Formats: sequence, structure tokens, C-alpha cells
Amino acid sequence: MLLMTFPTMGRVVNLHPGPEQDDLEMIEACRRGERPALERAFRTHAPYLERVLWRVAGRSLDVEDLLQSTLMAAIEAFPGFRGEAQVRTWLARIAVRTAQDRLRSASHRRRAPLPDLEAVGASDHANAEHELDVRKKLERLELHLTALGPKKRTAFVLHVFEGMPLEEVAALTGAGLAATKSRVFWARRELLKRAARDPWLRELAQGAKP
Amino acid sequence: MKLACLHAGRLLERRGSGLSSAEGLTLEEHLAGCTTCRADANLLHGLARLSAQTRASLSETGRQRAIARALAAGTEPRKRLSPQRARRGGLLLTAAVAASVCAWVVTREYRSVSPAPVASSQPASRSEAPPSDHVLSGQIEVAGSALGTGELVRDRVQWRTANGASLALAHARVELRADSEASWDAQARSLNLVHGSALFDVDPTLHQSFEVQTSKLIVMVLGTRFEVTESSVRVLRGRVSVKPKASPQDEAPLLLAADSERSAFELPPPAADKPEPAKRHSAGELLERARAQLAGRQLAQARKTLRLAGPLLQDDAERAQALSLKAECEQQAHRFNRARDGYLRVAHRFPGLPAAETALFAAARIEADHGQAARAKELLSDYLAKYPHGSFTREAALRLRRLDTDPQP
Repeated sequence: MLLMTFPTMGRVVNLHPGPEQDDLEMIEACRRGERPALERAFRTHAPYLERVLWRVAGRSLDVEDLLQSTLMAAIEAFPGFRGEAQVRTWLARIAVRTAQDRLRSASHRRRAPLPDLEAVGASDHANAEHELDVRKKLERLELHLTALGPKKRTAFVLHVFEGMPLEEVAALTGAGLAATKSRVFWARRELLKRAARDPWLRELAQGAKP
Repeated sequence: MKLACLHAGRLLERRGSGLSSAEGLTLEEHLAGCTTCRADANLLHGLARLSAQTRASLSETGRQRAIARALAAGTEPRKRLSPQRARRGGLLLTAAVAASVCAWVVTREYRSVSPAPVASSQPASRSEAPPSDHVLSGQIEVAGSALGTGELVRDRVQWRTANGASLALAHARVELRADSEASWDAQARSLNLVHGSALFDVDPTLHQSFEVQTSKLIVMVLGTRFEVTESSVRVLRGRVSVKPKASPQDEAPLLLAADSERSAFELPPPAADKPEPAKRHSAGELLERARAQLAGRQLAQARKTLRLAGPLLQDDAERAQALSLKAECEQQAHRFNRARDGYLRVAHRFPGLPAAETALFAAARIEADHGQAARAKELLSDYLAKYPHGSFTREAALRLRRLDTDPQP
């Protein structure tokens, strides 16, 4: 089949601003810093935030730590939340900023990406050799994505791999639509150039079903 | 790089978030003829598939742990910090200690050569900031009870003053004239002047926003001294920006400099008051809009637009387009049988139009993608017979060959 469908982790297309879908009482309680309301909001949105963090930060950072930092920042910022966006979008913006800050930090750059043993589902692969091969490729992909820089990487990964519309990516990263488009474009070109030169990733082109 | 390749690249990027049928076909057609883009598409697809194999969520325990720690640290400050914050906190503490030592040394030197500082009549500055919003002098009444000097001003509660009062609100000093009513939103640093007038002295050194709203005006302060009544602003020092309350949010405010005064009636009237001419859309415009909505996956809106376009359709070309778009709606809603029937209806009813060719190929593609090999082969053969030099001939032949060799892909 020539027309391929991208394997996305889940599509998020609800961009409608405004708190109409959020519980207004819950928002008000969150603004006042009430713990049960904060807990409820965090439990509702944590899976989405995790996905965004995984995508933006990759496997080289501790997502649990990032999620904790995101939620702590959200608690501090909640009194200033005006309800102009949905809580989920607002939280995701904080998550993206947290992950990008961490990616920029010197400590992250010094740390080599470690292979994530749980990253590949064992049931997907019949033998360990194949699993090792996939893990090595994931490591290489992570390396090339990191080389793109946090802004380009975030825009590219969220739009192309995660399947988020450009508008949503722009909203999450706080950039304009044109800037986001440009980041995705240059990131794609750079990543493809790097992947085509990488002996581990080059073969993916042959592996992809035409 | 060719223009078509650039466009195909854009479509490749957007494929994860969904392409319309027409865009999908355009991309397929381009990839069939361009080896470079085809190689890029394959590699990108491989990378996306590889990336999808990463674990995308924490375990339930990990999630609970992160939430519990954040709540513990956020609602009970300094109980537990994340490792990153702890490290950052350590650095900040070291810097603060170093700064304090430097400041102490510098102050000691300064005191030894300069006279004692003179008390300033300026508004509350960073170092003199009061712990919270309070009454400086005079009295205000809140729900029947009077608040005097030093008492706290409650947030978002309306109060009035009979004889005038002086208040410290955020980084501003506010002199309320007699018989004025107002309320204060501490979070937004916004004072709503319901009635009367007030003089404001805002500290510009903090670079923080301060806003005054009346029934007719919104005054945004840029660090200044100014006086506001319900419908006018007089600037004594610095600058303020002002706009009528009824104006749209994106309208640029007017900047007022020192020694200027402006009333609400002198400001430009809000655009919202201007009557908008009634718009009549043609069928072509509506179809174009529906196409754009489909590209943005706004199915409900696209259907609504197509319903609006229905009575306005004038010729077969527009009818064929509308039917194709309806079929595309069904396809995006994953009702593939209906989509296929819709496309076939276009192909049979309007055989002489370009839309019929696209529709026939789209129907064949749906059948092929859903395992109906025999029916797909029949439609592809039909297409090749009818359009031997059509837009999708090469692709149709390729698909047909593939179905012949591997009927169950």
C-alpha cells in the first residue's frame, strides 16, 4: 500500500480554547490551592502530560521527575490561571517548557542517553537479538533528535510523530504558527539527512512498507 | 528542490495529523513519480514507526508517586523538593549569601562617607512594599463595616468611601476621592472604579502591570501618576494606555503621555458598534470552505457548510464537488462503505467531469485498503479503461499489479 498511515501515539485535536469543558468549580478550587481539586485535575491530565513529556524529552530524561516538576510549577502558577485556555492545554504548556528547560540544561547535555530496557515491549519481538537491534536504533534516533535542539525537536516530534495539528503545537510551545512550521520543516530535513547517513537507521527506509 | 517536492514534504509532515483524500492522492501521485521524496517518505515512516515503540506512559505507581510528591511539595512548601530544584536551590542560596556579604560590605563603606538618607515621599517601592493591600489613611466601608488605617483591603469585594481614603494596593498608592466606590482584584492587579474618581501613583520600577477599569474605560498603567474618573483619564507623570471598555480585545489601545487628558467620548468608537454588511456566499466559496474544514478535520462544520451550499449549487461541476466532499466526510468518519458509495455515485452521475475520475480512483483505493481485492481490481480496471491517460493511471496500474501478485496485502 503506497499511502501509509503514521503510527501515532494518540491524536489530540481538541484545540477549542476556553474552560467550557473544564469544571469551573474545580478550577476555582485549584486557584485557591485546595489539595483535593489539584489532585483530581492532575489525575485527569497526567496521562496526557506524560505523553507530551515522553515525546519532548525523549528517553534520556526521567519522565517521572519531569512530571513532578511540571505539577509543582502548575501548583505555583494556578492562582494566575485566568481560564483563557483549557486546563489541559495550559498544563501541557508548562510541561513543554519544563522539558525544554531540562533539555537545555548543561547537566542533560553532559549525560549520555541510556537505553531504556522497558521501552520495547517484549511481546512485540520474538527474539532478544531483534530487541537489541531496535533498542540500538532508538538510541540512535534519540541522539539525532537531541542534535536538532529543543525547539526544533519539540515542534517536529509533536507534529510529525505525535500527530498534533500545527496550531496545537504552536500553542503548546508558545511560538507562532509560521515559526512552528519552519521548525518542523528544518527539523525534518536535518533529521532525514542524519538518518540517511546513519548505518543503523538507513535500513529503516527499506524496512518501511512501500 | 522542486515546488512539488516542497509541497509533498509538507504533506508528509502532516500525514500523522491526517490528510484529506485529495491531499493523500496528491501525495501518492507525487511519491509514485519522485524517487527522492519516496525515499524520504519511507525513511520518515520508518523513523515514526520506530519512535512509536518507545514506552509512552509511566506505570500507575510512578504516576501516583509524582502527583503525591508534587502535591506535598507544592501545597506544603519546602517539605520535599525535586532533585533538580534542590540543586538549583542550593546554587541560589550560595549566590544569595555571597550577595548579602557584598551588600553588607558596600553599605558599610557607603555609610561611612554619606549622610543619612532622607525619607522619600515616593509611593511604596520594592524595599518599602507593604506586606499586603491596606488602608493608609481615611476610611472605607465594606458591607456596612468600616475599615480604618492599617486594616487590610479584602480582595474582590466592593467598598466605598464617603470622605475619601488613601490605600496601598500592590505597587500603587491610590487616593480615592470622596463618595467613590471600587473593588480590587489582587491577582490581576486591577482596580474596578465603580463610581467617583481616584488618583493613582504607580511605582514604575517593578515593571508590573496595573490596571484600572471603569464602566467606560480600561486604563493600563506603565508606571505613572494619573487620575481616573468614570469616563476620563488625566496623566500627571509617565504614560498610560487607554481604550474604551466596549472595544474588541485585539484593538490597539491609545497611549497617553504626561500632561494629557482624554475622555471616553474622545476615543475612537469601538469597531463592534459598526454594522457589518450582510455577507452572501456563493456555492464555490462554501465548497472551498468545506474543503478547508475537512483538511482541518472539522467534520461537523464541513457537513454544515455542505448543507448550506446545497441549495446554491448551480451546475454539475459544483454538484459533483459537493458529493465528493460528502463522501470525504464519510471517509474521515470511518464510514467507508458510505464513502465508497458516495464516490461511485459521483463517478456514475458525472462521467465527463474531472471529479468523476478522482472519485472512481478514491473508491477503488477504499476497496483495496479494506481487503476487497476483487472489487478493487474491478474498479481499478474500470478506471484504467476509462482514463488511460488520467491523473492516477500510473498509480492505478501499480496497485492493480500489486493486487494481482499479492491479493491480500
